[in-house]
Amino acid sequence: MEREIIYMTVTNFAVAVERVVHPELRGRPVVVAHRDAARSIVTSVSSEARAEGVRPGMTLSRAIRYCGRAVVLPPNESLYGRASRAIFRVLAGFSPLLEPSGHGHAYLDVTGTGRLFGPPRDTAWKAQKEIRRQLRLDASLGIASNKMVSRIASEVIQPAGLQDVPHGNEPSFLSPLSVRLLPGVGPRTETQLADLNLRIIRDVAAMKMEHLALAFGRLGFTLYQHARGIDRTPVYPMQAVPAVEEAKVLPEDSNDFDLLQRVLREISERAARRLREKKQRTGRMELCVWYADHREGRRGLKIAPPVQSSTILCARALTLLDLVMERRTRVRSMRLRLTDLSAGSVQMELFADPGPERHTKLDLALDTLRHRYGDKAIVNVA
Amino acid sequence: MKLRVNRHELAEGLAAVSGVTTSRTPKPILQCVLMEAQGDCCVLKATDLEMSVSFTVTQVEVEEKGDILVSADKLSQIVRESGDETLLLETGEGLCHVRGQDSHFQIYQQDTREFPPVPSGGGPADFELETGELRRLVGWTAFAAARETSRYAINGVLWELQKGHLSLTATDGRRLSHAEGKPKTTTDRSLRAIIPIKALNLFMRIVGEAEGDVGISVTENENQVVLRSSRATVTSALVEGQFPNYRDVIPTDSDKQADLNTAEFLSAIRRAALLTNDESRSVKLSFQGDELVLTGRAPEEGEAVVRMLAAFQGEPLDIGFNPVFLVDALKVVESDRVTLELKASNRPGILRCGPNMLYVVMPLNLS
Repeated sequence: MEREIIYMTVTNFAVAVERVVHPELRGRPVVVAHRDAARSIVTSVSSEARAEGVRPGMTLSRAIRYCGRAVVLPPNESLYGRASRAIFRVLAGFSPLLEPSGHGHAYLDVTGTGRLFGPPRDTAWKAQKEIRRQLRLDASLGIASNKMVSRIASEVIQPAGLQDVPHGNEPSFLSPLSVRLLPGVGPRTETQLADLNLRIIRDVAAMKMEHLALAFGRLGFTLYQHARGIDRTPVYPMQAVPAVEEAKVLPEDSNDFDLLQRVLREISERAARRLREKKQRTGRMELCVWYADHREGRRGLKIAPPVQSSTILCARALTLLDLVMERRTRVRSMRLRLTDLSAGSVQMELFADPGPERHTKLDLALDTLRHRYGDKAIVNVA
Repeated sequence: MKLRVNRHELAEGLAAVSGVTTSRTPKPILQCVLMEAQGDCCVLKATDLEMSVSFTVTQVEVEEKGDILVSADKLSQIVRESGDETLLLETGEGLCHVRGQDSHFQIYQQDTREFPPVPSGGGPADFELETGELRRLVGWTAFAAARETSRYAINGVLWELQKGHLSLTATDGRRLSHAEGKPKTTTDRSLRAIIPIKALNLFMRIVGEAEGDVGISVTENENQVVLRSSRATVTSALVEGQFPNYRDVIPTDSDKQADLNTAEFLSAIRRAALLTNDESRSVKLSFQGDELVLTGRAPEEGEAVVRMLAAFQGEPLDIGFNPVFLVDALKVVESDRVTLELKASNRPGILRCGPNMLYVVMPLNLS
């Protein structure tokens, strides 16, 4: 059965999401970059700023020189993550074979869904309409028989629209396009190809594989296939990693270490309690701290053997806090993520101290109290 | 130096000393083997500064005494690949010449004066054991020793000699193996030493069944052990640190006992363990009446139930063990039957085979 792959992308995703939240930015040049340092790198650019020469990857100071009236917004990763997940939820309604490819980009394998949603073009149109209706975001979608061609198709119709490449038409669709659209072709390879007078994909497709392999090594084989519209990479569905996550936004930004420790203790106790409810143990912990200037600090550690005790998790989380707090900037929020969850039996130790057993009993007693009288019935004041 | 040597015996000696030479060392001299041709034998020596080994090759004709220091790895490869019955080794102009019937190899030799001194291991042994008895004691304990754990003191086997009575104990913190034996000869000296597992394994690999007795001694300042057989001597630094107080964890209040056929029990555990995985590495043993039911369960894979006869005395009990721990012990049991003593599902079990060998193993928390 011929594959039907849709690639969905929201052009200038960060800017597009910011414009949903701040509609007053529509029509104005917008640049996403940290504002506090002159050497900050621009991560996303609106089409208005792009028209004035600003490009992602540029330093902010240079971007401002090119476009002095640009509105500079700090990156809001959590907002982009939420928006991305919302888009993926919409797409997942059309096929379970969904492979996210970064914020606001995803592949969707709709092979065999014809009787449910009609031909792939109809499916893509419905998905585009649904994203616009639910999230007010304009997406461009490419439809083809493989991932590479669907991605290129979506790029040629940006900022929004649908591009369908019928089966068998891949080589003719690709042939007039620039070689820089092929995956694996960066500025350096593009220059190398140009040196060989290979500027459009048709030129590359006309070459023999041995010649391309001679000039580019292993990349030559890939170029040979891609230039003919061949890409057999499957769409890998999203792997849900089981995790327990607890986060808290501080009432006020603060760098008071005692306060941060108290907050962390609170969220780690909550996370430990959820672990025990799920009858699981964690083998890995990650602490993420967001600062008031939108920067973040992130550290993780392995826990062996896996545990579910509040006391042990609190102690480990506080160790992580010591490691992660490398700046004096005030903290806005914290998130603790427990992964490597396991529900298996636990090997007992011959020479173990009685501590862990006491911790288990204490946790069970506290859980019972909180279950009966509420979370505030008993709190850790240490 | 010039000597003619039996290739098979030289290969055996080089294989023995290669256990000490290390390929990754900041001191290239430690990758070499020192060959000393003396009288009617040739002694091969190697060291990694913590452990040294010397092996005597007797099937030699020494035409000219002397010594030579060459790469152990290269010489081993040459001797292994050669098809000759005997090889002629001689030195000259900074080279070691290895000649066979149709071959001639020249290896650059190192300055023997730079080779670290290898302890001779001379002097009387503190006690002597028959090789078979040594194999029995080490075989029963060495597998339970910890490897690369942060608790350095348990990376070895504890040897205790007191009033002519010898005991060996090893643990990795989750299981403990203990064996008792009687030395053939002993001095009045009392000993307590932790011998590194690497040294013991090397010595057991080198020492042949036909070598008779082996002598073991600990140096006066108690920081080195010498393991000596008629052909080989292994000298090693002892493991420093406090071995845990193992006597406290050997249960004395077990009130349930199962008498089991060793081979059947081993087979049953292996079969039940087929359906366990890293997440649920446990086999549940359910004792009731004269039947033992072993259950293994792997989430998303399946479940295994194996039944066997067991002469069980006591209240019915369900207890979970890591099957690897039980298999490790049962593999080295020589007797037909073993006894498993239990108390409760959260208390250690004791596997006994004979009066002088016991194995304590902690269960898994099934809840």
